[in-house]
Amino acid sequence: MEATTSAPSAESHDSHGHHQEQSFVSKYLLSTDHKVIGMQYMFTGLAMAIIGGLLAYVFRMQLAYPGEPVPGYGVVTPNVYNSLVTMHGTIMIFWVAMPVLIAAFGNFLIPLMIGCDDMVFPRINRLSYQVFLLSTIILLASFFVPGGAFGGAWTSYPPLSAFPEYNLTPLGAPLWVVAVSLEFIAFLLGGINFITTLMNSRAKGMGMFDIPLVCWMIIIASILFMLSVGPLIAGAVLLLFDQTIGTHFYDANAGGDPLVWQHLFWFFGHPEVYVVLLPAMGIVADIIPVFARKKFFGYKLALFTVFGTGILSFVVWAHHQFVSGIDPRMSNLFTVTTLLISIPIAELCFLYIATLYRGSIEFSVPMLWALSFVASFLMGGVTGIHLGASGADIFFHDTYFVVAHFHYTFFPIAIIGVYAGITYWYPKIFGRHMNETVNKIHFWTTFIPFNLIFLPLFLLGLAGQHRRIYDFTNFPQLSGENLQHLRIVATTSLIIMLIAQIPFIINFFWSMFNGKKAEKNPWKANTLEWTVDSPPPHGNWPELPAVYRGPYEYSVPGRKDDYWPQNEPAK
Amino acid sequence: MSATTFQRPIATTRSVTGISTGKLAVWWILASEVVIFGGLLVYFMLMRLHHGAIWMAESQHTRMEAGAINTFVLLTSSLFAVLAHQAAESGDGKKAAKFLWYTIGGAIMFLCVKAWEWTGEISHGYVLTKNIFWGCYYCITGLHGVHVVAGAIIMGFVAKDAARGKDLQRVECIGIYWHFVDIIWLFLFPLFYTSTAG
Amino acid sequence: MSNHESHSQAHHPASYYIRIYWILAVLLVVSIAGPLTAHHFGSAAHTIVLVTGFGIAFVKAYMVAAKFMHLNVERRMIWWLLITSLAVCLVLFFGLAPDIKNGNGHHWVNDKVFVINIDPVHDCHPGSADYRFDDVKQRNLEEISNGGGAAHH
Repeated sequence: MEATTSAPSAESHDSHGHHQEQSFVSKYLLSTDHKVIGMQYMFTGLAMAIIGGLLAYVFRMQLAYPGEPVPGYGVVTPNVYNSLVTMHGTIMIFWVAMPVLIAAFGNFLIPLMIGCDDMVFPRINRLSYQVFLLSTIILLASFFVPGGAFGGAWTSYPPLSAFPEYNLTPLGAPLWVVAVSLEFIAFLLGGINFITTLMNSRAKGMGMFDIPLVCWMIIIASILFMLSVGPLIAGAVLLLFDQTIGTHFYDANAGGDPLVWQHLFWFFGHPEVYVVLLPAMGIVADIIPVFARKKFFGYKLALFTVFGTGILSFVVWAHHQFVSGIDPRMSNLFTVTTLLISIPIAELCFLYIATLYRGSIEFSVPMLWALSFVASFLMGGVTGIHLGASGADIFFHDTYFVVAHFHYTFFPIAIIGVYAGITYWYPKIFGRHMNETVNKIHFWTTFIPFNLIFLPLFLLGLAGQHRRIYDFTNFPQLSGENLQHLRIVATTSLIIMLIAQIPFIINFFWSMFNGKKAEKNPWKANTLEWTVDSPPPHGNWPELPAVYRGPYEYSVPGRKDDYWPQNEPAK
Repeated sequence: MSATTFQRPIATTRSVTGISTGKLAVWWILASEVVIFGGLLVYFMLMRLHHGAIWMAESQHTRMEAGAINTFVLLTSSLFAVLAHQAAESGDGKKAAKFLWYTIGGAIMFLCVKAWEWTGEISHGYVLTKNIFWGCYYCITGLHGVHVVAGAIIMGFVAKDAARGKDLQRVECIGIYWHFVDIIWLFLFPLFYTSTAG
Repeated sequence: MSNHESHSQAHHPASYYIRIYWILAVLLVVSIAGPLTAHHFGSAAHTIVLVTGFGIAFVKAYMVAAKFMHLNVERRMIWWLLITSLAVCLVLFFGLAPDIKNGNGHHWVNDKVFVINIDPVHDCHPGSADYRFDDVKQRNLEEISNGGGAAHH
């Protein structure tokens, strides 16, 4: 079987020039090549990130200057405010973090890092993106239906989400459910592909412990996703029926139970946090050894830690519901598990720091992003301890403290992690270097405003500011001058941060065509993706590589080079 | 790139785990399906336990004979699926295709019985929106029915290829999926049809 | 992980599968007959329905999985995969159970909260707290037993 199919495959590689002549549509839109599909996911995700950021701009302006017309948008009505906040959350998590971190990096990196020519099911891979694109279109279309986009919060709790007379978005709500469900199906298809590829198609000689951590983490994230999303897909169908044809699954008046949705949502929603966190942590884990020129400290320990995190992540979900009226005895249980899960994540951060210890650290742009990820994620994690304790959570839960905590975890994941990955693999993806100076300016003008957005929100939350209020002037005790100033600081920082993305976008597209040509291995890294041409051709390698050692053999004593590629036979 | 020029990558032919790639993927699909059905069944069972008396009364109105016939039909089609696999193992594509068509026949019979059953229930006023019991009933058996339809369609493609001796390994994959659909029904049968006294 | 041992695929004759099929069919008859005749057995009816309905469903599911899906000769990893996904469902079940099973809101009573909320001003001389604590508790229990709504199974 191997012999019969490898022959035509090698042939298709020889006819490489033929592929260049394909039309734009068949080469970039209908391709089954894992790299192209990865880029499709990435560009879609980054475009959605811009939309999500602009939504944040509009509603932050409303919070800072209530009632005044927002430049570039106009007056924000309460309904529109709800839609903006809902769609900001939905887009940033489901349409930015997921497609970019898992689908884009997973598609691009997994076959390259484990040394094979493509995903095992290229056409299912393509289908996965097409379903995802369809879901994206449905979500964006929901902005333009009568009533506007869904305004029942990104968690979509019934009865608010189930009855149009509550959420006031009769068409937006079902469209939201359909879009989210389709997206999950897209990622299920993608996830099966990732897992099967990693399990079955590793290069000759690549054992379980020779796989780069980023691949492992994307795979573990995919497994978590596959095992947790099912109940939510089923529950989403029930919610859709509640919304559209009048069933009563979540209607307490007719024997249903609205709490069930919360359970189903968070049963997926909490593993989902790790689904997007783990790839980001994996990206950081792959960057740090390269720029510290040091072996990753405790590869197996990190791996087992991540397995443990994955298992624990299935039993922490109800900490989102401490104030939802769940059984308080369950709150005790979930407090314990929630505090427990901070241990493995802290352990991973310590492993990163231990990798840095006595390394030869180079503050390149990817490294800056990686280090800032560890620093800011620690902030998010530590404040999570406050919220994980059910007693404290009762006070904090409906305040901006939660918003700040949440963004201190998700901003590092979805933005910092993504920038770390893009700046690190850009030379491989596009075959050219980005402008380093612009990228450094971009880093600082993103990282500092990010902290200035969310640090004030911690203070606001501690002052008891409720997080679901459209116009604080209606609540005199919450719209004092001190608090309003903090809100203005946060909003101003957000605007600065959004403006700071413009040089990055220009740099990104300019460097694609005009940047300095990249060699095969610009960072002198070990993993297999650095042994193919930049950018990798269709089929990746002329001859698929074999693997002789682990991925992090840096500064091995007695070697001339301080790196030792995985595919280099020992002499 | 059209399907005719599509080349299966080398990656697909590798098998580090010792399980062929297609079969491994089917197992992962089933694992995710277990959780999808699991979520619905968990909801149903807890509601059943919570609303004991009311739901028991409602479940008197499901048609046990239809459920029993369908269980038997699915069981028989499962036998054909495994016989198709056995034929494919021995390289007899024609025979495998024949048994796959029998399996599809089972699927169609299942759907006919289902249609008859649902028609009767709906005409007696037991509709999706009546209460949560009937909501669950139609959603869960409906989701199972969607799987039957999907399985039968895919099986048609597999059988067409198998008759020409192409991609015989797929016969096993679709068979595994079909047995899974059967197993789900094995649990739906007592849940909806026979546990009316409990 | 990277061993290439070819797992032995079962090469059974057709009669082997047909035999299993007949066993399954007999089990099916039992699982129908059990619940239908259960009401003749009085107090054991409940158990009979559960055992013949669900117990036999598990047996049949195991037989289909092991013999028809060839899990008995498949690599052990697949068993673990399926068991993991079933375990996830169980976790969901037990996470949901305390909330759904007691959906009428009377499943837990924090007595101290009631003491504070009911008549905070009236009759708050020292020594009365214990009396009122029990009083409120009693009232709650009555309320639960009278107005519980749907019967607990």
